[in-house]
Amino acid sequence: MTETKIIRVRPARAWNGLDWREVWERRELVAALVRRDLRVRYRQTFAGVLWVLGQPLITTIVLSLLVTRLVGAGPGNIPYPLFVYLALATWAYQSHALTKAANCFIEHSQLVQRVYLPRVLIPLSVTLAALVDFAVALIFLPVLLLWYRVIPGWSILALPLVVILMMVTAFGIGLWLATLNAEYRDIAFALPFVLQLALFVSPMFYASEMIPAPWRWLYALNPMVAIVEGMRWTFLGTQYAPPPDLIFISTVSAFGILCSGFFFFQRREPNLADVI
Amino acid sequence: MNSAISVRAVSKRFARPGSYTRGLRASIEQAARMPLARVLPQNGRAVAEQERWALNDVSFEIAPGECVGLVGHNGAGKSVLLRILARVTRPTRGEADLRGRVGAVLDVGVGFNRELNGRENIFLQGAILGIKQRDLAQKFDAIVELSGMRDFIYEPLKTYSNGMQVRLAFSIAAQLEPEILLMDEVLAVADQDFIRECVDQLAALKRQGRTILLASHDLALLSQVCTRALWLERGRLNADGAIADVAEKYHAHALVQGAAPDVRQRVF
Repeated sequence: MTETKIIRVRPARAWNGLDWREVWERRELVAALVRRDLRVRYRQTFAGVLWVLGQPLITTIVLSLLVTRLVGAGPGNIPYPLFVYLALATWAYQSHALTKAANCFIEHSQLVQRVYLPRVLIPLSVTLAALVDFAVALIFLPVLLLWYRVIPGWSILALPLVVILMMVTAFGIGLWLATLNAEYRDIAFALPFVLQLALFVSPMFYASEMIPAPWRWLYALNPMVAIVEGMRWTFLGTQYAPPPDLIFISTVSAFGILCSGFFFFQRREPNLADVI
Repeated sequence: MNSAISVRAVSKRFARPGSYTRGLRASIEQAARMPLARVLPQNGRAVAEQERWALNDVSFEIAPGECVGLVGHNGAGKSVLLRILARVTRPTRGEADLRGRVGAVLDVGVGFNRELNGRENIFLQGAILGIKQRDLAQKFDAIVELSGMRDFIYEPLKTYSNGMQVRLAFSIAAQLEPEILLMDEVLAVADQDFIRECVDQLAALKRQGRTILLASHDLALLSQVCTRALWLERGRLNADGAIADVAEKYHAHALVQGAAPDVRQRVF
């Protein structure tokens, strides 16, 4: 034995740094957890796929019928179904990722209480696995684009940025929820209701342009604003320009949530096995 | 001192489950009372009574290559000690150093998934234990051979019996090749034959100079592999010495306490 690694066991301090090298060394665990999640879900239930696929599609159809009949056309000259569908696809990712993240430490309590591993990888794997739902939810997008004869411009190159922003948001909020829910189970119960409210304060069924000036900055604190409007711009860039100020504030907010979520998790992590 | 495991004055405090110090309501109330905490000293005492010291000032050293048994009744603190050493939870006070790669088997088949088949579970379990997937692919046949599950390896785990799952789990854990092995009483569910095999495996590890800390209340099993024993009782180290001596004291104590072992409510 050339050099022996000394593992020090110490009481938790106010701030316990994260061993980034160890996180990197255990990256295979993330892949394994993601694989496990997907295999279990998509093997068990064929309906699982239909559900992820159908949810945004059916909502889009119902909404489009309602809105175009009641209000007339959608915003500008954008076909309303496309306008809504793009938003709902991001929502499918976000709501699924957050619901899974909130429960991840409880669902995998064995991993928390019986083995040593960088626990931050558990919520991370959840936010990654949910990307598959996003991809599945987008399956009808080409059909809609063809039907409405919309050809995405060069703005489609921004899609990876939108996806990164989606993950930043889901991981940030997910860290908050997962950590809180480990101690206070009330969080998971309140989540569906909060998600429903969030659906209305996100520019899903309307353009964020419609928010009156005094409230714009407050509205923009919602990271979904940048995600949804960014998603629309990515595919409809030639005919749709979302307000840049809202996108900017919203993006900053998303990264703010990620940083605060990470610090909060890191503070509570040493006690995680004891409070679950 | 170059001990493999060095534990210095380790204590661990738990709040009692369902006690008033936990949960959302309690947290909000505590926060609301914070400014009054000094004015109302009796509150502090009420909280202190709801705490439990699962480990109290435990210190010991284990030399490299030593094989040590950890005995004690349910709730004596064996599992907590192992979990602290495995870095699953942190001590409230005190500190410990471990020299070498640690492999901890605190439970059987942690992270096993019932829907996945044996092969998929081997790779999942390996990733959880921190074995590289490439190494797993190489050792795959050895694992399957050791577990004796060749005919079932493509069946979902839910078709396995408990004993079969234990065998599979152990065969994976055996590939860990740790310098320090921590093991909680995980052999309780295995059948006699397999325990025999495990004891052989442990003896082989011992011959290779690995350090082993093995918790169990089955002293007969422990004395097959261990030379030394630590006896924990209510969170304190009651005895530390040659396994025969400790066994003698332990049995004498059990007689005094009455035939029924002291099974108190476990905290976790």
